[in-house]
Amino acid sequence: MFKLLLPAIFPSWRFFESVGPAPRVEYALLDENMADEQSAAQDKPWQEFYPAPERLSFCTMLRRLFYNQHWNERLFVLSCAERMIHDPKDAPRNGREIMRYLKSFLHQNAQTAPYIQFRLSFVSREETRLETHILYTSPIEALKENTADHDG
Amino acid sequence: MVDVTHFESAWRLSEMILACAFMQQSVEHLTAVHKAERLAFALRFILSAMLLVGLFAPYVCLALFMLGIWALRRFNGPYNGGSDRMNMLILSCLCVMHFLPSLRMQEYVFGYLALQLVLSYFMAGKVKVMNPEWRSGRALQNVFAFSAYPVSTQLRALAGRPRILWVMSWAVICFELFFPLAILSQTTLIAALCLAALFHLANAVLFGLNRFFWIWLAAFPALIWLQERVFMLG
Repeated sequence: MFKLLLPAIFPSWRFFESVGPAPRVEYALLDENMADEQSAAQDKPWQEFYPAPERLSFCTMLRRLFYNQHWNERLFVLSCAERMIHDPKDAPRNGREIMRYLKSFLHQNAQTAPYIQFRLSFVSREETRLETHILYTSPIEALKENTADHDG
Repeated sequence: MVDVTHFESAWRLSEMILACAFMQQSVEHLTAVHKAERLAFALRFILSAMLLVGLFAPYVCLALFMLGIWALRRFNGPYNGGSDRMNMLILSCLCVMHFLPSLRMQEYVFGYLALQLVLSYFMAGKVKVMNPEWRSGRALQNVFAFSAYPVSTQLRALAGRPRILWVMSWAVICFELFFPLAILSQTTLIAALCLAALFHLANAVLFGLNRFFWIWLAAFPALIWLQERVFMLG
């Protein structure tokens, strides 16, 4: 408990000290054929989880000052992605957390695919160009599993 | 009109702003994935409303603190980075103040909160000015180019405006580094706090960091009070 509480009571306030590789969470909805573990990663229909919209009106930006649930969920899921990579000991817990948010999001959007998989990619600058490295790919799971009310 | 330079008034105002910030945060969790999370944040909303009107404030603060610990464990750390840390810092200080036996001790704790507010800007400025990427504007370019924060794809185009970003970088660095000097007079402090609020508003609009805006406001009364206490009363 103190490990979690002490940084709040004695904060370091080193905001944006450096801008490191930025995580993205991508998921793929899979049918029976693609759920085969041998199926090549590049053949899977990866899509970004909670992608930022193309544009936002100023009114929407201001409205989000008062209510910004999805964006804050997105930031939390991305922090879980960073924790997975930086703290391998806690990786299973953070992986389950990401999967739970993904499943909840997909259930709300009435997705009917039988299986799901996610992967973590990190974008960074190499000299003048941006490069993306995939650092983790999750096991395939059934989408129907209900994990919504289970705290891990 | 609340006299924020008066200790009791500044303390109460901090509590009220904190309560509003907590209510805003709690609403965002009421449709959360987990049932336990929804229930905990519904309770947090109710407790915050009680704090706002000053009902059983010491015990409400204590209950909110326990919920804060629960949230840290539930999310395995802060849910929303620095804003959660500021949540717990302000809440801890205000909570402890209720149970301290003397005014002097309460003032020390409130003063500690004010000091942390100053450090929150100064330390952030210090680490930036020591980083060559920040000094060249490259760090802010990276924030817009590929970090997770810009709220729309359209905003990423700013990464292609290095001169603007260089000016913005130095504006942020200078503001953060020189913030402590603002406490030398009440006028400069009020001006600096207005600028700080604008800075947090910009972060909320551009990067979706809405919680930082509300929670940092809750610490402002502590600094306004401390400035008066140190420089006016001696």
